[in-house]
Amino acid sequence: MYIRLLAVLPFISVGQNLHLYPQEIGYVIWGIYHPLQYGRYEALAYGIAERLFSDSILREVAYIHNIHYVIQRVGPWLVIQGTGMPEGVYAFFTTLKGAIERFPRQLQQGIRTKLSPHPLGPYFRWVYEDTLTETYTPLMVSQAFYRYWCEGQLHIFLRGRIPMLLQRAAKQLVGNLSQPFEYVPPNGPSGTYQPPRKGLGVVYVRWYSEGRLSPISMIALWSHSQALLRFLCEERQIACRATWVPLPNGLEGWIETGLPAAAEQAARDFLSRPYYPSPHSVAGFITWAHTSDNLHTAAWWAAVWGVALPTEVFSISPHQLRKSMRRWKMVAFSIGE
Amino acid sequence: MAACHLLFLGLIWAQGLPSIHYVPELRSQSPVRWIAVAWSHSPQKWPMGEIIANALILRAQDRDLAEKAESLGLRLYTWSGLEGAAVAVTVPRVYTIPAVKWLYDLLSRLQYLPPYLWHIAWRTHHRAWEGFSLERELLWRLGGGRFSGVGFSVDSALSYLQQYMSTACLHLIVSGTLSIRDKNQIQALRPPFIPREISVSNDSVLSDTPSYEEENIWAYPAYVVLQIRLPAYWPEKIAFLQAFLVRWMREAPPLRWKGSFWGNDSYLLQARLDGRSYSFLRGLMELVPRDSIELIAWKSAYTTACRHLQAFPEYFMDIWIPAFLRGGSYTLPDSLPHEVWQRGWPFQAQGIWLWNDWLHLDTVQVADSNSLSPSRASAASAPIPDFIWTGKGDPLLSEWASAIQLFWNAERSIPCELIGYYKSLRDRTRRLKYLHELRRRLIREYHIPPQALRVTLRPMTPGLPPKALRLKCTSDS
Repeated sequence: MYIRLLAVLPFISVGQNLHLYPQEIGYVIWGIYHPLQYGRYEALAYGIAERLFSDSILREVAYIHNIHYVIQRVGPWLVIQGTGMPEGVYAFFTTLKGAIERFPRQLQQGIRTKLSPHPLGPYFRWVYEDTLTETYTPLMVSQAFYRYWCEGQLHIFLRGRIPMLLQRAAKQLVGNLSQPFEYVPPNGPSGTYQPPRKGLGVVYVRWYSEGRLSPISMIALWSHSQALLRFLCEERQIACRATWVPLPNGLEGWIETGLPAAAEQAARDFLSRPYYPSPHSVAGFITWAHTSDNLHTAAWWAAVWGVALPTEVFSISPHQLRKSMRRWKMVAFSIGE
Repeated sequence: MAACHLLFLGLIWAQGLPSIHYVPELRSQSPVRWIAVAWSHSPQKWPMGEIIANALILRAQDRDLAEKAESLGLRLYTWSGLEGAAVAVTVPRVYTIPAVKWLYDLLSRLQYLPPYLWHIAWRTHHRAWEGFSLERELLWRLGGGRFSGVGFSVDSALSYLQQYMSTACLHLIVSGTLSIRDKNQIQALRPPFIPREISVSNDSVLSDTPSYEEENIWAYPAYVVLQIRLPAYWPEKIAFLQAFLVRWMREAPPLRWKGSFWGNDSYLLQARLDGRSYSFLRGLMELVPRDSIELIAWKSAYTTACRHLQAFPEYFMDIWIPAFLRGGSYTLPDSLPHEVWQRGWPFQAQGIWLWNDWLHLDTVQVADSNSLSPSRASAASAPIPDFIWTGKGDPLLSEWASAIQLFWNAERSIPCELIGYYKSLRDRTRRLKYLHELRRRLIREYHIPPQALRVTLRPMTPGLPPKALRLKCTSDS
């Protein structure tokens, strides 16, 4: 019902693995999301992606068309995200397809498994109990490569100016398969990595729900997550930086702190209280979602939930927001070195 | 009562109206609008502009303003540079008029900021530059002077408000397309009124004596703070910079870098480098495309950069705000003529170069050399001594002595410092004795005047070799 009230960024889902957000910002923001099974096998996935993207022709095309991209693990995904002009991204995706076809020859030489350089990398691995010591046989490497890069288990989103040719080039990468998102949440705090009272660590927070996901629940959840960070930063002054990772059934936050135990307690205190999002959160969410730093996260959030991003402020009753908040369950624990 | 109102309106009228710029090219068709209020100031006032920007951020935390900002979904940005300073917001399009009102409200409250908040604003500015003494020194020297500490008082801030932030001096910049009705509403809004006389009693003067002594230059192999000369034509500035970045990132990428436009014709670059990247920068004399591939890469980088600048002006206030304050053309063509790309540009960079924690090159020329005495002018062109001995081998006393002698002759009454470091209090006497022994050797064997060198002992900085010594000469000490 409320969709009629919303002015939204037109959202087109081609199959289930290609998500398009046409928007007149002149260039294209793109992301390739590689799911990590049970949040594990980062070293294998990163090793394959790193070798694939070091293809000399691909690098030359990226140089000529000024395509900037980063490969890193974020939560339960390996993410390759970048920007470029539409014609450049078209050339890049076409070349990437060629690189994928050439890749089996490189598989014969084996790959060096590596870890992504994200600063929160260790915490991601600890929470998802990712193992680094496992040795990968050539069979496992080739199976992983074929599963994700050839059989279309990747997810791609494009945001910005998206000509038809670019859509086709992106579709070539994900194929016609429609794979639903697979996500298995982590079990909980690992016994191995108990956080110290002081020292670097993160507070892991996850909101999850079994119900239907909508733009209104997205706004309510965004409001709650921002309020949590504001509480930890301004009121308790123990954590001011967070990485938000949208999940198929919710959202997870990785809040960096120097006092993991205290921050965990503060987060639990905050989350245990009832929260009533303000109807004004819509405006805040729109500004957030269209800020340069958050373009990727917002687009991926909409893609992974299969909803549209609101672009204009609309009226929403506090009752609706409260109702959408009620369904969320939350998990919070800290982890540290 | 009516007479009072008329008098007030008359005062506002006498102040004039701000100039309003509508810029449909920026954030065009975005659901979010960028709105900025900018003002010009004299180039030496950029630190005060930063303090004003900090004060605005503090004032925006007033309960009513913060609640209003939250209900509008506002995000606040500030900027200060040689040309002026600005405060900006991003806001959903539908809230354009309330956002302009909010900005005016924020500016109008600045004159009533209590002194303790001014002091916090000043300390925030002071802390932001802590650890970046080289960059700050470069900025001051490029402005023709040397940083020697600046006092701050609330009265100086208020006189800045009167001088540079009166209504007629303000520029309101609104991005995206607007209806005529919205434009009329914006023009009807009254900007803040700053009275002629504002004064604060019992105002204390805070001095900007740095609490830090020196940067931890051992943390990286090489470090540069450079002022890069830009071409005169506005779109070429962007093209030149993109060409430079493309080549730099391709051939010898830095470990970490940041940069911003500084004044009309320069780009200020601060970078941590490895040896390869350092050599690349030292050896770069011109930017001319080597082949057609590089030419295409430069063109592509320019186009992408232009789109990015136009899509997110709030992140590029160092480009857009000076462009509006200078009043020239700010439009960026989609591409530049082929001949411009083929011709290329000379690359001129001057600044401070640190390499491998001991060599310190200083290539900044003092702007007005006529006003200097011949000895000072020769010192300005000669490198300022700053040597670090990491404790391996013998100290290079002869080299140090000649540098001290040269510096003493040029600068006269300013002594150099021989700095030693101690780990624990027990070490202090031993280290101090050693420093004095070196000083005695320099005086006896190399005949430097005793007044030209003094000895200082400091606590150990992390990552520093235990035997390290530093010989530092600065003319502002």
